[in-house]
Amino acid sequence: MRTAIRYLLVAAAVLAVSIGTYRLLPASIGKAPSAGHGDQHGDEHGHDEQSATMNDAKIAAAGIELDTAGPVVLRETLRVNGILQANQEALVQVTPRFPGVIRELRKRVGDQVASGETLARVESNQSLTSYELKAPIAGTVIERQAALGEYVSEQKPAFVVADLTSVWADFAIARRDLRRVKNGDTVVIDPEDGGDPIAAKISYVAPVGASETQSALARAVVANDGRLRPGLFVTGNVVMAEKPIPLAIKLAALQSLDGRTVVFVRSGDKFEPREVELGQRDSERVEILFGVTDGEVYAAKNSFIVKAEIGKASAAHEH
Amino acid sequence: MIDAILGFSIKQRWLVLFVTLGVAALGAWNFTRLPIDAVPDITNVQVQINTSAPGYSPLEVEQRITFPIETGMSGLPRLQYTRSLSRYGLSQVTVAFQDGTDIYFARQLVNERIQQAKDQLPPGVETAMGPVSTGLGEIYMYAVEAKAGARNESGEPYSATDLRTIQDWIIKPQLRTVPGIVEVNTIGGFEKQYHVLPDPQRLMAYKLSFRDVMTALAANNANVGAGYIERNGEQYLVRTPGQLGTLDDIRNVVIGTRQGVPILVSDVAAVQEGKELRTGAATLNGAESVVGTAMLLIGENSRSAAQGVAERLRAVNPSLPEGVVARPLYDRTTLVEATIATVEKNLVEGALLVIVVLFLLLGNIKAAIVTACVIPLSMLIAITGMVENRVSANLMSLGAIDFGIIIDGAVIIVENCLRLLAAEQHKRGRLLNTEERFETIFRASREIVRPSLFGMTIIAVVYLPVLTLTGVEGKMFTPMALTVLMALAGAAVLSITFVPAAVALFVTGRVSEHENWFMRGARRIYTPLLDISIRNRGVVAIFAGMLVLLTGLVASRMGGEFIPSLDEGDIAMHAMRIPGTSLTQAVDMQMSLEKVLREFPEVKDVFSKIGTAEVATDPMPPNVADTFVMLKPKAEWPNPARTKADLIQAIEKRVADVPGNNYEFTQPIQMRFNELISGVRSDVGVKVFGDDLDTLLRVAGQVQGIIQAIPGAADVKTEQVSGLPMMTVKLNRAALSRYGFSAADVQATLEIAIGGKDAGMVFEGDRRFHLMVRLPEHLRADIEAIKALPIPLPAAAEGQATAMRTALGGATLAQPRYVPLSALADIDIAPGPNQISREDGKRRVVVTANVRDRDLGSFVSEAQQAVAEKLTLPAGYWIGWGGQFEQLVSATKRLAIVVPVALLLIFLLLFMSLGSAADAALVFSGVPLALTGGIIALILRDIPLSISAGIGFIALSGVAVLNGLVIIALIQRLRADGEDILTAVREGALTRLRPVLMTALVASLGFVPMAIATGAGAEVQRPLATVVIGGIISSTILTLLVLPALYVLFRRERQDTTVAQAQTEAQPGEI
Repeated sequence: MRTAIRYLLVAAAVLAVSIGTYRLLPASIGKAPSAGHGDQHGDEHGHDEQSATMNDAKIAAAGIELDTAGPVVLRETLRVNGILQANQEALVQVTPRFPGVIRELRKRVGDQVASGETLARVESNQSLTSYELKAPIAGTVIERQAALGEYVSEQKPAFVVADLTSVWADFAIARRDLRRVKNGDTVVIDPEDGGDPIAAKISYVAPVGASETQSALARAVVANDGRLRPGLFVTGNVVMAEKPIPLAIKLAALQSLDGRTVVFVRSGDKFEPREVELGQRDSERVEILFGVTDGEVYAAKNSFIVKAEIGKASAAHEH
Repeated sequence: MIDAILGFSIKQRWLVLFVTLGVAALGAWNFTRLPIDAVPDITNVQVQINTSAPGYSPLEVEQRITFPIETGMSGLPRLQYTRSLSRYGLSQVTVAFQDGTDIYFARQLVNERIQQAKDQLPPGVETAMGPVSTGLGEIYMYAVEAKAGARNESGEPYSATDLRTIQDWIIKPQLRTVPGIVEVNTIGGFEKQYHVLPDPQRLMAYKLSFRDVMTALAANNANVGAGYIERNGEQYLVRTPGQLGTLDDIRNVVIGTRQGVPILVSDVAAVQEGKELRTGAATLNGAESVVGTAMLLIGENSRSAAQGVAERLRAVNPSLPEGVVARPLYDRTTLVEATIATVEKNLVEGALLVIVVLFLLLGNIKAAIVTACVIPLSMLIAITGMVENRVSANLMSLGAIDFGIIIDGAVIIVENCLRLLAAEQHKRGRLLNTEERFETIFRASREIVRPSLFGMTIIAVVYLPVLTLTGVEGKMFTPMALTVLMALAGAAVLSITFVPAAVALFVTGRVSEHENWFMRGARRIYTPLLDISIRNRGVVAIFAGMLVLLTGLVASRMGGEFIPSLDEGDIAMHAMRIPGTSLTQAVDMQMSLEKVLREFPEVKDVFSKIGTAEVATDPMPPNVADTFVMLKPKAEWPNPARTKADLIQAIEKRVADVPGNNYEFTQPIQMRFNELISGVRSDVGVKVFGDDLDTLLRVAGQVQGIIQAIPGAADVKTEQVSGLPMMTVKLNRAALSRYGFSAADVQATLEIAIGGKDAGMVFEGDRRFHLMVRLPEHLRADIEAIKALPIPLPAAAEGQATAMRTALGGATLAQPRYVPLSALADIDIAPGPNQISREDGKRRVVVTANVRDRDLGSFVSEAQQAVAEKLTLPAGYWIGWGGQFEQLVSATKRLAIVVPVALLLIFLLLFMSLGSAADAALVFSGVPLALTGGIIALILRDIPLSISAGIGFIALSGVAVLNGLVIIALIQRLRADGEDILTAVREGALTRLRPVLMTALVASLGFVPMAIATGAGAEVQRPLATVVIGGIISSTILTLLVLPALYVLFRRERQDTTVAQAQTEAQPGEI
C-alpha cells in the first residue's frame, strides 16, 4: 500500500518535471512570431480604409499642394515631326529649251537672283547660237545640275530656283491624331538651332494618306528669314484650338487606386478618393466629366502621398 | 581509478599545478583566437545567387533567369530547399543547405551548377554569388559626405554621383583588403555613366539606326597590343591605344560618311555624363548620401574586423579629395564591447561574491581562493573547447554560465576536506603533519568525489535536450549548452586533480575547528526548523505537493516569448510605402521622415537604405527603406533616465504623423537576421503552388477565407505579389506586318529608348564607367512621349542620298519615314506582379496566419482538414504547409523523446549512486520543488517565460538534484552504519547544512549581478539569473526541510512502530 503511494508520488514528481521542462521550450517557440518581426499593422483596417485624415500642418509638411477644381481654358498641343521643303508654289525648275552645251555660268547654288536675271548661257546644238537661261522668278538658286561645257537638254532641269522667303513645313500626322488637326491651327516650329521657335498656321491637311507610314500630311507655309533650310527635319507643336472647359483639375492630381482613376478630394480634415471620368486634356490640366464638382478642393502636387497614406496599411516588407 | 587519480594529484601536486597552469595558458592563448560577437549567429547555410538583369520585369526575370538557375540547383547533395525571388531587374535564388554543410563546399557545388545554367541565360545578365557572410555580417557602415561649401574639380558642389565615384574608386578598394572583410557593399548616389543620347529625328535624317551608333562606339573603343619589334638589340613593345577617354572623344566618333562628310556622334546625339537607372538610394539626416557597408567573412572575429575597418577608414580619409569625408555611422565593436563588458562585469562580480561566500562559510581564505580559482580555470578550459568546436563567444554562449553551479563539485570537495581536516586536527589535538594532512585530504576527497562527480554529470545531462534543438533555436542555444558542458567537464577534471592538489599545497597551518559566526547562526536557526518539519512531515509533504501544483498552474498562465531580444542600443525601422512607389518619391518621403526623426534630441544620426544595394544582399523594392536610427550614449540624453522603450514609443507616435508610411520597429542585427532566414515567419503558412499567378492569387484568397473562419486565427494575410504599376507595350502584330517590322525591331528601339543599352566602357585610368546609349530625357519622360516615340521604318529598296530628290519630287514622299509607337502597339497601364516568389522550383503564393489563444497543433490540424474539405484545387495546383509550427512540431517530437530519456538517465545516475530506486525518486522530488521558486521569482519580477528562463530551469534541476544527492547519500551511509532513521536524517541534514548552503549561496549569489545588471545584453541574461536565484532559494529551503521530512515519511517502513517514540527522542537534539 505504502509502496504504491510512494511510487505514485514519484511518478507524479517525474511527470511534473517532464511537463515543466517539456512545456517550456516548445511553448516559447510557438509564441515566437508575436514577439518577432512585428505584425502591429493589420489592425489598422479598423477605421475607414478608403480615406486619409490629414490636417493642414501635415499637408504642408508632406508638400501636398491643394487646388480648386474649376473652369479653365485648355491649350492642347500635339507634338509632330516634319520636314522643311521649299515652297513648291514658289519654286521653278529652269530647263533649257534646246539641247546644247553650257558656255557660261552666271549663278551658283545659293546665289540670289532677280526675276529675269540670267543664270547661264547655252549654245544650242541645233542653231549653234547661244541663248540665255533666265530666272523666271526672284529667289535663290537651290540646285544646279550643269557644269561649264556640259551637255544639257530639255529632258532635265539645269537650275532650280526657289523663293525661300517662305517655306513649307510638312508634318506627318499619325492616323489617331488626324481628327484633331485642322486648317488654321497654330503650329510652333522649333528649327533646333538654338533660336526662338517660329509660329505658323496649318494651311493644308492632305486629303490622301501615305501608305508607307499610314499618316497624312499637314502643311504650314512659314515665312523664312533664312533660318529655315529645306531638307532639314523639324519638330512642331500643333496648338489645337483653345477650348474653354467648365471643370478641370491638374493632371498631377490623378492617381490610380485599385485600378480606378481617382482624385483625392478634401472634405474637412480628410481626403476622399473620387473616381473620375476624364475628358479632354492639355499638358497640365484635364477636364472632369464626372466625379468632382466645381469649387471642390483636391490634392494636386504630391497627391501620391495621399494615396500612400491610404494604402499604407497594406505596405509590408516580405522577403 | 578515481582514487588513483586523487592519490596521484596529491602526491604530484606541483606537477598537477604546472599542468593546470599550462592548460590555463593554452586557454588564454585561445582566448585571443576566439571569435567574439554580440549574439549567436542564427543564419543557416545558404548561398545566394544574384543575377542583375537591367530592364527586365519580374515576369521576364523569372522566366529567363530564375527558372533556369533554380531548376539547375535541384538535386544538389545536402540541399535543404531552394527559394527564389524575381523582381524588377533582379533575380535572387537562395539555396539553403543542411546545417553543418561546409559553406565553401556548398558554394563550389552551386557555382558548378551556375556554369551549367549560364548557357540558358540571356546575354548581358550578370550572375554572381552573394558574399560569404552571415546575418551578423554587416559590421561597419559609413557615409561619404561632402562638407558644406566643398567644391569638386570642376568647381561645383559635390553631387551624389561624385561621392559615389569616390566611394567606388578610392574608399572601397582600400577597405576590401582589411582582414576578415569579404565585401564592401555600396548603396546610394549614382554610378557615373557616359550617356550618348541620339535624337531619332537626326538619325533618320542620316538614315542611321541605333545599331549604327552602338557599332561605331564599340569599334572605336579598344586598345590593341601589337607585339614587339627589335631594333639594335632593344625590344620595343607596340600598342595602339584607341580607347575613348573623354566626352569629346565620344563626340568625335565617326558613325559614317555622307558624300564625303563624316557624320560624328555629336551630329546625331548629345553626349554627357549621366546617372544610372538605379535601384537603390541612401539618405543621411534628410539628404541624399552614399553609404558603404563592410561585411564580415563567415567565421571571422567581428570585433577585430570592425576595428580594422575603423582604423583603415581613418587612414583613408586623408586620401580623399579636399572637403570629402568618410564618416562612421555604425560600428559593431561598440555593441560587442558593451555586451562583453556586461558579461565580464557580471562574471567578475559574481566570482567576487562567490569568494566572499566561500570565505564566510569555510572560514578559510586560502581554501576559498583555491575554490574560486576553479572559476577562471574552468572558463579557460571552456574557451579552448569553444575555439576547437568553432563556438563563438557571445551573450548566449558566455552569458548563461553560472560559475556557482559549475564549481559546485569543487566546493563540496573543498568543504569536506576542511571539515575532515578540522575534525582530524581536533582529534589529534595538534597541527597535522604533511603526511597526515595529505592522508586526510585524500580521504575527504574520496568520500565526497563520487556524489560530486555524479552531481556534475547530472547537471550535464540536463543540458542534453538543449543540444537536440535544431533550426534557429538550435543555433541560439546549442553553443550555450556546449560551453556549459565544456566548462563543467573542465571543472570536473579540476575538482579531482587541481583541487586536491591545491588544497594539499596551500591549506596548511591551522584549520579553524569551530564554525564561524555565520555557520553557527545558520545552524541555530536551522535545527529547530528541521525538527518541526520532520515532526509534521505529513503536512509538509502535502504543503509541498500543493505548492508544486499551484505554481504549475500559475506557470501555465504566464506570458511567453521566444527569447528576450538583445537591446542593440540602436533602432532599426522599416519604413514601408505602397508597392509601386518610385525611388525618387521614396527618397523624398524618406528625407522628410528623417528630418522628423532628427527632432529627437536622443538621436545622433539617421540614415536609410532604400531599395537594393549594389550587391543585392537584401533585395528590397524601392518602396521599402531600412532606416537606422543611431542613438547617442544615454549620458548625453536630455533625460538619461528615459528608457529606450519609451523613446521608441515616442518615435512611433511622432512618425505615425508623417503621411504615407507604415513602420516596423526592430534592431539592426535583428533586421538582418529576419532578412536572411525569412522563409515563413508566422505560425502557420499555407503555400499554394502552381503555374498561373492569377489562379494562385485566387486560390490563396480562398485559403485566406477558410483560415480566417477558424477560431484562433489572427493576422491572416496573403503575400503581396501584385501592385506594381506596369506599363505594357502590347505589340500589334498585324500592324507590325503591314509596316514590315519584326517585333524585335520595335523592342530593340524601346529598350534603348527607355532603359538604355550598354555600349562598352570608358576608362579613366583605373576607373571604368559604362557607356550607355539611351534616348534623350524628353522623349522617354512620360507616357505621352513614349506613345509618340518614333520608330524608323525598315529601309525600303531606295537609292541613297535621295532626301533632296524626293523633297523635290513629290510632296507626300518627303515625309520622314517613321511611325509613332502608338501606331504599332497598345500601351496599357495596369498593376502587374510586384515580385514572383518560387520555392523548390515552383511558383508559390503564401497565406500566413498567427494563432492566438489556442494551441497551435489543434489549429493546424483543423485548418488542414478545413482546407482539404472546402477547397477544390485546379489541376496542377497543390498546397504545402509551413511556418513556425513545423519547427514546433519537430522540436516537440524531439523533446518528447529526449526529455524523458534525459530524466531517465538522471534517475539511473541517481539509482547507481544511491542503489535504491526509492531514494533516487526522493532526490528527484527536489526538482519540481526547485522549479516553484524559479516561477515565483519570475512572477515577482514580472518577467515572462522564455527560452532563457527555460535554460535557467534546466540548470536549476541539476543543482536541486545535486543538493538532494549530497544529503541523501550521507543519510544512507549513516543508516548503513546502523543509525536509526530519525537520527540518520537529522545527523545527515545537519552535517550537510554547510555544503548545501554553500552550493546554494555560491550558485545564486554568482548570478545576482546578472539578475540586476542593466548594461547591453542584460535583458537576455536577466530571466535566466532570476530563475536560478529564485529556484535555488526555494530548492535549498526545500532540500533542507522538505527532503528530510519526505525521507522520513517514505523510508521508515522498518521503524514504523518506533516513529512516535523517535519523535519525542528527537527533541533534545545533539550538535
